Amino acid sequence: MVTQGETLWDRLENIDRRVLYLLLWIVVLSPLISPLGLPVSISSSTVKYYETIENLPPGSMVVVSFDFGLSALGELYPIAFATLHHLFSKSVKFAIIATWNEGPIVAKMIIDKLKPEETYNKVYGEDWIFLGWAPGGEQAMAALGRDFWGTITLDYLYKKPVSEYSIMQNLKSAEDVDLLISFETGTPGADEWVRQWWEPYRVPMLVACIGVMAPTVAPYVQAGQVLALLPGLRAGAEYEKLLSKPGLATAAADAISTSHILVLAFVIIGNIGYLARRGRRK
Amino acid sequence: MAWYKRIEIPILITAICALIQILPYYFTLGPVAEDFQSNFVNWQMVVGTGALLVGAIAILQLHIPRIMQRRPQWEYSLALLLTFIIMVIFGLPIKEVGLGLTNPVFEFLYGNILTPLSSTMYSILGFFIASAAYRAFRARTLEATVLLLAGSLLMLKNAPIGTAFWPGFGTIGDWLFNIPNMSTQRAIYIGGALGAIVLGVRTIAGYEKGYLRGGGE
Repeated sequence: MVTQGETLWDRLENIDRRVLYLLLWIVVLSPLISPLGLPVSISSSTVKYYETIENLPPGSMVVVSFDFGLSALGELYPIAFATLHHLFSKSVKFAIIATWNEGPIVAKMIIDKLKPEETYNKVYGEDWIFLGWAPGGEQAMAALGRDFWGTITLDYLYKKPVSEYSIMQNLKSAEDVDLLISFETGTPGADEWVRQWWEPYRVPMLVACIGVMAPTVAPYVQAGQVLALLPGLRAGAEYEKLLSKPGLATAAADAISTSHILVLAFVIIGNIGYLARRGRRK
Repeated sequence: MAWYKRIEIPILITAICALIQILPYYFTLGPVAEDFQSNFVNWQMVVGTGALLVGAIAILQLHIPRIMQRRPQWEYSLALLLTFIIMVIFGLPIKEVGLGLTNPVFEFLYGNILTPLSSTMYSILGFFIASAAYRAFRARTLEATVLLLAGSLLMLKNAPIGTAFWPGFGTIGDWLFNIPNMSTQRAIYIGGALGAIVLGVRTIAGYEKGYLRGGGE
């Protein structure tokens, strides 16, 4: 809406937010419909994440924790999907847990898509197990570290005692775990895992988080408490590229580029308007 | 005042519970103390799960009167209660009658209503952030200009097109992320940890009463 006496600079500084919303919607949607195929360079952190899983010795025990809910699906689902695909492709054993109550639902969505028995020839209860939600947040992490069997007594899929599964004979406490992978969006998440699993048991850890969480997890990476961090969709696209399995993150990579460029363009336009108006006033 | 109503009782319980958690962490007190600590953690999980029931009751207490009295926007309360009840009924873990997390109705509601709604709510943040960046990133002062430049460079680092255009954006972005960001985050963590220690000591000692009767005597 243009009001009387409003200059071009004023207009540049006060563009209607609906215009921005509409343009953002268009630049996010367009590359999803028609991908641009912009190149994605791979960061050293993503390489470390990939190599840590890739170099796991056969028979290693991994715990994968879904520490997020449905709201973070957009960013973390592609990473969790790629990570589980990577794990199923390897000769390692792993247990899926969740410290967020919606975590098991997300994990099951991925498992249903991956079909481990058919696609990877993996036997449930022998090569992998789905333990479900451990309520209690950080306390649950501490309890799991001490005693898996006592904290989660039944598995999530078949509701059978975990002690009946062969994989669980080698998974009784955090001391049996060779690698922990956490997909996280907040609390409980990396902070709590570091406190409850790295500090007392020195369990090596990988973290994949939403983009906005990256600055808070980064100090743990630099301190060596987290081996590698995969922050947000862009990192997911890099990981998919390393796996040679393009998925949702790769599809979204172009949308990340176009949306960021649009926001930058608007920031520049707003500043041109602001600086020009200030110059005229002086 | 009866002895069991005295404020010292909950303070003492809090202090004992805290010490049961803290002492075995720093000292080797033997298997009995460790078992006790472990049991306390399990109790906390049970109490935490029980709190879900309290939350459910609180929702009913809040929304039922709003519907009965036709208060403003009571329709939303009705929608909330209906969906709440439906999800609870179909999600009840009674496998014998086909209820539970694998119930088709429950799965349908979760997958086709809750999941897209939750993702949409989160995605809307992208629009708000874009609008906020446009309005807030103005070179009004030196500090604001530094923020503007740092934010823009990090955006170029995070967008694949930025590093594809010039790999230097990645190097600069990494430096911003690993040096200024990291030092600030560390300061926040250490400050927060020191504050938590002080709060813990004050709570154990009974000086901190904010969690009791709103802190009053």
